[in-house]
Amino acid sequence: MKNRLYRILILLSLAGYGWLGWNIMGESAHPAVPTVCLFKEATGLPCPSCGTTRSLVLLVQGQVVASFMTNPFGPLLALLLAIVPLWVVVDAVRKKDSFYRRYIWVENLFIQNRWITASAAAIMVLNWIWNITKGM
Amino acid sequence: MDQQKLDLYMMMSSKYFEAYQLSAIRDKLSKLDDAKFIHVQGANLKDPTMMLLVSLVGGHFGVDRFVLGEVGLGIAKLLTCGGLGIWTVVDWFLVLGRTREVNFQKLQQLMY
Repeated sequence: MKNRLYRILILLSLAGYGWLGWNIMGESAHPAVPTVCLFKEATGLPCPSCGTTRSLVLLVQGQVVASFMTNPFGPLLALLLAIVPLWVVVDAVRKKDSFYRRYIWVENLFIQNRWITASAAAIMVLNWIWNITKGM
Repeated sequence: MDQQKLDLYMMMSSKYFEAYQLSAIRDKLSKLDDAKFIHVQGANLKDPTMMLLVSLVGGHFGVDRFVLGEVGLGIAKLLTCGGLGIWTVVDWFLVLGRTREVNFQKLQQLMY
């Protein structure tokens, strides 16, 4: 279970950094970036996480407020992208499972505490509504 | 363990597991006492075909992962637009096997 999770997270982080790098290079280096959001392709409406890439690119350029206004999940994802791969690699090298235990702890927090789950879902829906009104 | 009851259970629930797991499950269940078997029968197993449907419709938002109890990965999928759309498609193909695996793990916890 632990190794499977670590593999998935490392793969996700690599994909994330690759995608971010590709986007930061901008349109001068390659043709326009396609839409990867299947939901947006299918319905024309943005999903709750649409604009996260744009938000991260702005964050890298130092525009923190603009980044937050584009999609608040951008800064959150930046934090995760900075911490998670490092923690996982350190864990793997030292043959420990501190990240895995913390991950299970967070999962149980969501499973056992309805208020946390409900608040997270509410934030998600609010951000979704904001995304649609912004026309991401 | 009553043989007839066991046969009936195996027939009803073979769709929840991989084919190669069935004989091991049968073996284990035949040695189980009735009190524990009631728990096994009441286990909340997920239908793989149903999960495929869930993955096709809600996979982009990580719903398939949430339903399988993998909350962390569900959140990751949701926050990354379904893993840039790629993870969503990959999970369409993986969800059948993953559901059977999760079902088997659930059953194992109940049997021991």
